[in-house]
Amino acid sequence: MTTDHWIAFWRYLLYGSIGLYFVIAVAVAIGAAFDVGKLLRLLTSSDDAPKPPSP
Amino acid sequence: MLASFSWLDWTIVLTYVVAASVIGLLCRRYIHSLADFVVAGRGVSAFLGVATLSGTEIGLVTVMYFGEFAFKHGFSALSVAVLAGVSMVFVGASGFMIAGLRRSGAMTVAEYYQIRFSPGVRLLGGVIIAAAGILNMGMFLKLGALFLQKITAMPEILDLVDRTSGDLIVSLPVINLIMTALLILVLAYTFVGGMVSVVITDYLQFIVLSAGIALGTFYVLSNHTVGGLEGIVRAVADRQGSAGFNPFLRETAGETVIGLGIAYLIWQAMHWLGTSNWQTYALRTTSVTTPGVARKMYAFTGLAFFGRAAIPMLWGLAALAYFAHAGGIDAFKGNEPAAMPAFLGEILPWGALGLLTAGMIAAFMSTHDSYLLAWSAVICQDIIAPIARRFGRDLSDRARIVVTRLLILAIGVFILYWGLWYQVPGTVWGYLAMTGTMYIAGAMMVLSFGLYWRRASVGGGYCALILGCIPGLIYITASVIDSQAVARADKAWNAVAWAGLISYPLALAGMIVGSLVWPQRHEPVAPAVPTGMTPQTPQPGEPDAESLQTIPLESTPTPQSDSPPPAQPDVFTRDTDTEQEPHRDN
Repeated sequence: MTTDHWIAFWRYLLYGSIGLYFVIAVAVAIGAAFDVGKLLRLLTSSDDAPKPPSP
Repeated sequence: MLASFSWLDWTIVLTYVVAASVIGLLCRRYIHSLADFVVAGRGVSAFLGVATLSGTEIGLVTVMYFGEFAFKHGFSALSVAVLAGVSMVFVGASGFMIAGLRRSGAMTVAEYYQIRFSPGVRLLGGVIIAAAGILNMGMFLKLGALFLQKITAMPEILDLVDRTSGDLIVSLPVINLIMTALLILVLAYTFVGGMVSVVITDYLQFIVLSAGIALGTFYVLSNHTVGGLEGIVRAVADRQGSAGFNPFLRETAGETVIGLGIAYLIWQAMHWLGTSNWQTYALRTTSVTTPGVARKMYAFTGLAFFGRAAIPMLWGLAALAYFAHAGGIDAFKGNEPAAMPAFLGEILPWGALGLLTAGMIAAFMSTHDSYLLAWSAVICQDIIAPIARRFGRDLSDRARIVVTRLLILAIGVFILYWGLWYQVPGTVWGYLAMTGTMYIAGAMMVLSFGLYWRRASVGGGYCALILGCIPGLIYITASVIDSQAVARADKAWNAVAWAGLISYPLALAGMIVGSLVWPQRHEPVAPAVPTGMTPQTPQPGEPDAESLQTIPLESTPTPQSDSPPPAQPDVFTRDTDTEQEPHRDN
């Protein structure tokens, strides 16, 4: 590969990876908001769990 | 200079720091058990897993070392971004190592060593990963403080003067003060909140960090002095020649070496393939709900990892172009990590500077809390608890949380000391990759052969861990004794690349030869699964447990050849076989 080929390769890689990063960042930011709620519900469920009936 | 750090920037930064710290401290109420503290109750789903893994692994130190790497090696540095992204996507798509690790029910990688091999292998693995990990973390504080000092244009020295007499009372290095302040901040909420605090604040930090990165990248590419990508290409061609573009070349230009060379690239390929063994990655693997979620998390994080490396490298390249075009590039000779933050401090306007700095502090905090927790958990779970058990004392959950918190404090003090004292011989990335290789080379062989090779034995495990560690240990020890001599060896024959590269075949040979010379006398034993906790079964499309994991789960536990009767491993799994909503056992 010549230097020009490398320059073209790095140019596509840079722009592609930066674009991909932000697409994933937006998707993750939205999706993870729901996951945070699920995690906190899971971690607090022991506090709210019904007590076993007394014998 | 277009801007300097203003009251608006300080307000943005302080608001963010206070908000993140308060949220982190509030997470204390969710800690009920050791599993909650260390692996967030194993309730992390796919998106949150990507956010927390990305949040942790995109640290301020990441931005600094990749920025410096590109400043020194031009576009060739981007080859590391390619290797990192491709390896992570491969691991996610194939489930290589991560699916088996998650299914084993282990909380740390070393804990898997006990399940598959023996308590002795676990102890050795725990010692090596803790030592390598803490050394690795040793440069984080210093680089974080250097970034803040340069971007805010703080002075190097703070002189305290007597107001009345005008006499100098004391001169304090500003970087040391920033390091101490940052450490106190991050220790406070990691110490209290554990993994729940880490996961929740990682999410917040991921958002702030991404916003800061977007803003920073916009200003970097639109700066007139840099001249966009064309200006960067011109600067790299002028200063670094073809080695600045072709990563297979390695050329010496005066005092500096440009380009990476084939040995360096092969080492990096192996390093990134085994990175899922690194405790901060593995802790995410063991925190998610199912092996399938672990695979998704790695595949998506791998895609983000192209950008994780490429964006700070772009900033480093832009810093090279900026100072090459505007003048002053020689001021960074020998202090290359300072170039990128100094460049950002000069080009960003008010407000943007504050937001980017808040994002970088977010990155700093999310990395530190996770790393502190990871290494303290390893020392507690894989070194102290097994030793205590050998002496007939089982540590309770409560005792382990106390020990883990004390270890977080001790590690914090160590990295402050190491950061102030240690001189990196080459690039910071070279140092970090080398300390990582000390553990990853052996761990990769132990975990992968443990999962996929029935004849892998305890002897093979010991040999792989020890041989994989030795080249890195020699390199780091030599750099402690004479940093300049190691720097000369790096320049003359690419010592860092060869030391890293040779670690992997050594560990491989250790595993194979050790297993053949000291074969397993008994079948490996399954962990005794605590009440209410179930081992994972594979999901559709994954290899079945028999072929993937050589642990016969239904067999009667048999003592290992070199170990006492099997102790109950620290398995905190409450998994489900499918990706249904996880439930909590009360």
